[in-house]
Formats: sequence, structure tokens, C-alpha cells
Amino acid sequence: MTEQQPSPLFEQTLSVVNIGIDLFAETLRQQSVDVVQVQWSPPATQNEDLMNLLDSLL
Amino acid sequence: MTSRILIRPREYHDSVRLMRASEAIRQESGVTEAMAMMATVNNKKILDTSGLLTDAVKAANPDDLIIAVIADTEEAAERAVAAAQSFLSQKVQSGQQTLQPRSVDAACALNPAINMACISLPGVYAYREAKRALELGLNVFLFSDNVSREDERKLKELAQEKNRLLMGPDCGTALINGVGLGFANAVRKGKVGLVAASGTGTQEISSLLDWLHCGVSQAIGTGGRDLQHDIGGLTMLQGLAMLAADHGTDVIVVTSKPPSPEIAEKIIAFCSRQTKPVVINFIGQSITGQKGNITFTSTLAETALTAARLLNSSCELPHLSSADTNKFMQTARAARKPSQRYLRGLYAGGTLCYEALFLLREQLGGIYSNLEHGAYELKDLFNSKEHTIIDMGEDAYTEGRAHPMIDPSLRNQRILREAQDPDVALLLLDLVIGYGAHENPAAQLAETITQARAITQADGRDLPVIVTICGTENDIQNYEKQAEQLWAAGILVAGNNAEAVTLAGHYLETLND
Repeated sequence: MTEQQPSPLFEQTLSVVNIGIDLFAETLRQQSVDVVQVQWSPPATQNEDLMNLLDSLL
Repeated sequence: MTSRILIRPREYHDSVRLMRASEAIRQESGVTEAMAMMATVNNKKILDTSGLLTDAVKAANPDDLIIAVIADTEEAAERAVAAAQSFLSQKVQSGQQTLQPRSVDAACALNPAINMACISLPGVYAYREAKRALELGLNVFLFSDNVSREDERKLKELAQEKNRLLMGPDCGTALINGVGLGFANAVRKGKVGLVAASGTGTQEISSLLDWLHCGVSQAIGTGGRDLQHDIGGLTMLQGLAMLAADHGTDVIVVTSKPPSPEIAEKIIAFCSRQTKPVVINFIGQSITGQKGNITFTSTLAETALTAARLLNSSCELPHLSSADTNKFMQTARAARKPSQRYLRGLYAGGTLCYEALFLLREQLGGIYSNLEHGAYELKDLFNSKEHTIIDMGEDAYTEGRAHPMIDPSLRNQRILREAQDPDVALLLLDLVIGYGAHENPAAQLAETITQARAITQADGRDLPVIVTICGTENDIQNYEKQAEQLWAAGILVAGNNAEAVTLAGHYLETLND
């Protein structure tokens, strides 16, 4: 890990996708941060194998 | 009086939105009680206490939405349920953004500049979304708790492979490039960089640094378990490397509950190889003093002060005047009844609670707490015993409902309950302000303390209260405005948590003189 270049995050302007509590997107907008809220809903199935299979197909 | 219950299978809304929906429908005329909540085990208990635990509610799953209303008439109940559905069907206001993507992938397609994912879903769904965000090259702020250790490790390894930062799980706070994520405070930009395995620890240190005119360059959250053996301090070491290379950081601060010994060694060894000065605060370990470029501190306040001194700040920490302290002590002692022997600490901030427990444990000869293990573990979370200090932000209190920093109602109920106990000598509380927190928590707290004192006074007792406010003058709630409301309600407002705790300990100790 120490040989890796540090992450460039500190050089970037923050742009956020918020998944979950809307309030956290609101607080980012209060700080004039670019934020996209995901309209999330629980997956239809929690069968992990099936979800992984779908991921590999998409 | 009539009740109406609507169950909408697999309709998810977050706890804050549901709290707001509940508040909105309670305002409808003829409505006595209204609750919109996910059908978690905890929430079913709440419905049970209101007599609303029907067979259908019992059978509902945690990802089902329940709208429950008690009203004067059938019509009022109908109207309230319809109002709740209407409230929850409104799209979230998203500024100029009109499209609402349904996945991280779609969001990134919509805005390719996205470089950070903020995830606060229930833990069972969080791993999948965090993994996808990392695969897409995003950094992740993972607020969700209830993510397994195995999944945490996998996510952190993936983050390293991608050279991205994964903060969490159970990460409450971060300040990245001047932006507060989760619960954060409006802190001036400065030269102190933090890596922290504790949310309110970061909030307390960064707020005090603001007070000391120093400010923060970056505050990286690691999640509470990062420094434990099985996670190996992966995020902490990555964050330290980032701060060591960051031109905006001159002093590095590390804070965490006590780490596993071998991880502590690793962290200390890494820090000792850096050229920048490092301040390490392993809360709950009495290591102090200096070793090379590292200074060890024992409290959050001392940590902020030490970092400030390294940057040549001569400002002092906020603190009470001796006149205020003496007046409080004299008044409290004079009005005390012999039965009033015990401390009750009710915290919203986990690290602030842990610090209080650590500082008072030996002084008071054992304190019951939900953060303790063994003999002093508080078994009944809803009833205090002798000296008790509880973290009301813990999962057992928050599952399926908003955190007490957002929704103080559960703590307010607990304050009123403590007031009924003739053994209570002192209440010790925190008030955390900043982004994401309640818009005016001091007003609610002052009102609750006034009600609590009506209870104690009817019984011929007084109720001394010490509060520590965690936040800054630039927070939306404004530190000064919050403090004024508490002082006006006869509450002693300490300058920081360590001062509040020390004063509480001193008062309790003198009762036995």
C-alpha cells in the first residue's frame, strides 16, 4: 500500500451520489455541492447468487 | 376513537423521511397519533405500546411500510392515511436536478463528474451498493451500520485495489475538501488533518479546532471497527498516507476507541516514520506524553488543544468561568435531597459517551452502560441503574428510526423518565449540532428539562443539568443561540465534553464527602 500513489481525492472537486437518507443530500446542497439523489428501492430478491449472475450479465 | 393501519409491501423510505411524514400527519385535525415506519422489530414494539400490533403488522417484513393512525373519527383516520401516502409519494426536491436515477450506475451516467457515493441504506443492502460504487471508481462514505466484518474487509481491500477511499461502515462524519459528509460541523479550513474511527470524536475535535482558530484540512472517517484485528486498520493507514502526502496538512490527528494492540503498534510505527507531527488519542487508554514526532493525549479536548499548540495557536479552549461553576455547585448541593446520589448521562454522540464513561468509571466506582461489557453492562436498556451513562445512538435504540441527533424524542422521553427517579442527582447530556442534526435541538431540550423539573419539584427535589454542546458558531443552529436557550432554562453549558464530565464527576464525588 505504501508504494501506491496516494488517492487523488484531495485534488478533486467533490461531486456526490446519495443513496439512502435524503437529508444527507439536503446538507450537501446547503454547502453548494453537486449531488444526485438515487430513488432507491430494495431489490426484488435477496438471493445473492442470482444478483451476482445478473450483475455479470448486465 | 378509531385506528387505521395501512401496510405497503416492499415500499422503502428512509427513517428521516418517515419521521417527517409522521410529524406532518400528526398535524391533521382529529389525529391523536400517527406513525409512518418500516416494519422492523423495534418499530413493531412501538406500535405494540400504542395498541396497534395487529396480526397483519406482526406478519409484515422489515422492508414493508406501515402507516398507522389513531384518530377521533373514521373520516379523520382516512384523511390522515391519505395525507401520509401523498407526503411519501412526493419526489425529493433535488435543486435543478429533475431526473432521479434509480441506481448508482444511472447516476454516474447522468453526471460523470461524480466521485463520491454517500450510502445510508439499511446494512443488509449497503454492501452491494458500496461495492458497485467502488467498481465504478467512486470513493465511498458508508454511513450504514450492520455491515458484516467480512464484507467490511472485502470492501476495504477493493478500495485499496482501486486506490479509492472507503470511509465506514458506520461512519458518521467526514470533512473532505471543505465539504461535510454525514453529521459534520461548519469548521473553518485549516492545517490539521484528522483520521478518526469515531464520528462525534471528529465533531468534537474539529469544532474545538475551529474555536482555537486553527481549522481542519481534511477529516477522514474510518468506521468504528477499522482498528480491530480483523479489519487491520486498512482505512486508517490509507488515510494517514493521504494526509502525510497532503500539502494542505501540517499536523495529523488520529482518534479512536482503544485499538487491538497489534494494530495500535502498526499505526504508531507508521506515524513515527512521518515528518509531520502527529497527535494520537486512543480514547480509553491512559497513554500520554511524547515519543518522537508523536504526542499522545487522553481527551478529545486535549487533542484539539495539542494540535492547535503545534500550529502556534495561543487561544484557550472554551471553558466555564469559576463563578458559573461555583454557583452551580452551591445551588445543586443546597437543594439536594439525601436520596439523590446517582448520575444519569444520556448521550446522542457515541464517542462523547465513551469518553464520559472512561473519565468517570474509576472516579465513581463503576457505571452501568450499554457500552460496557461484563458486570456493568446495562441489561435493561430502557431503565437506568445507579450511575448510568448511555449512548442513545446505539443500534438498539435507532433500528428503524432516526438518530437522536435528528430526532430527540426518544431521549426526551428518557429525560422525563429519569426525572421520576428520586435517586437521580444530576443529568449529564450532550447536544450535537451541525449538518444533518435537528434544526433547533436546544429549544426542544430546554422545554423537556422544564417539564422534567416540574416533575422533580412536585416531589420536592431539584434537577441539576450539565450539557456540552458539540458544534461551532457557523453551524446552521449556531452555537451561541443554542447555548443561550439552555442557559435561559437554568442549564449549565460546559465548554467541551471533558469539562462537562469532570465537573459532573466532581459534583458526584463531593456528595460522598
